[in-house]
Amino acid sequence: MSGWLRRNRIGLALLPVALVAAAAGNAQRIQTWFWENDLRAAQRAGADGVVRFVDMYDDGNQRHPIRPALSLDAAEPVTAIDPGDGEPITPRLAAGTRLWRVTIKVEADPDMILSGCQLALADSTGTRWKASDKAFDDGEYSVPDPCTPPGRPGPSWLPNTPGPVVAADAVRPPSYHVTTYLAIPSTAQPSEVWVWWSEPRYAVLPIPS
Amino acid sequence: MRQEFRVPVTTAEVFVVVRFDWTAKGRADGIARAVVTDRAGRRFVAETLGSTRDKVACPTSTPGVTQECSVVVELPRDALAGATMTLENSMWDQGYDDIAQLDLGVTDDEAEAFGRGATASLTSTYKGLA
Repeated sequence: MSGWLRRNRIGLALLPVALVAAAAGNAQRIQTWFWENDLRAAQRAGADGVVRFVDMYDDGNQRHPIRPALSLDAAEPVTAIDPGDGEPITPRLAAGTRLWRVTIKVEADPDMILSGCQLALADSTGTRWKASDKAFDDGEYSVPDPCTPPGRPGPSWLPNTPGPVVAADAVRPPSYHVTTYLAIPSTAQPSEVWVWWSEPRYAVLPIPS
Repeated sequence: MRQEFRVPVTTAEVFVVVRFDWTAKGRADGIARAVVTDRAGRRFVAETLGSTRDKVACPTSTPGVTQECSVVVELPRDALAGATMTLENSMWDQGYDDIAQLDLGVTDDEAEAFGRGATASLTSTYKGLA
């Protein structure tokens, strides 16, 4: 062993440890800036076609579970919106798009907070079209939250309040179907419906071909 | 989604209004920032947020669906000739994505008369929904 190696043998032995420690010391940046910054953790359906979704809302002040059972009723192109309580609405669509209707079934404890979800159509390349990036004009009609029944969103938890509250007429049933509309490029071939509350976890509901 | 700014403003110098089509790819995205750089290296910044008279109207749009966008930047008239513009996805970090660069195309001869007496609106919406 040369003199230089012998003199520095302790430092050389500890060098890998120091490198690992330095990397580990910055690992929260991978968590914050990479892992939690996109949809990365897919939760898929069992043999019964139901995704038993597991997530937790946690903003440092409030913390509550998000554990609905989600399944896809249908995802298909349509030409009009059914508002549920009136005549069908034919929306104006952005150029080069067609309208899709997505209906999902949700089963969840009525005490669970479920408002604020996102729903998207996605294709095999990972391109995703979110319902909230609305590319159609439906006049007075406003497409409701994709994961709670219209007018009955269940509990909400406002900042600086001790806990969730729910108005008597907003109690959510334990099982329901909810429909969302999206305008996506006419050439698009979505193969899955994605549902999520906060990144990185999302539910994948395959569209039967 | 339609953006339209209805407060009329005038200038003793010049508003440069750039209209462009924007189509996101892969996932929803928009143009959030535009920067004009003149021959002297001065930079004039317009963004989607803020209370300045400079503004970008190009909200996040769904992939594959074209949005008609516009940008307005107020410039001193002597900045016009030879100026270039960049269009950027993020107001905070330009390292994540491509940046469009364009020449405003105003020559020395055109700069003095450029835009005088003209009025333009600043709007944005998906193509076909205007």
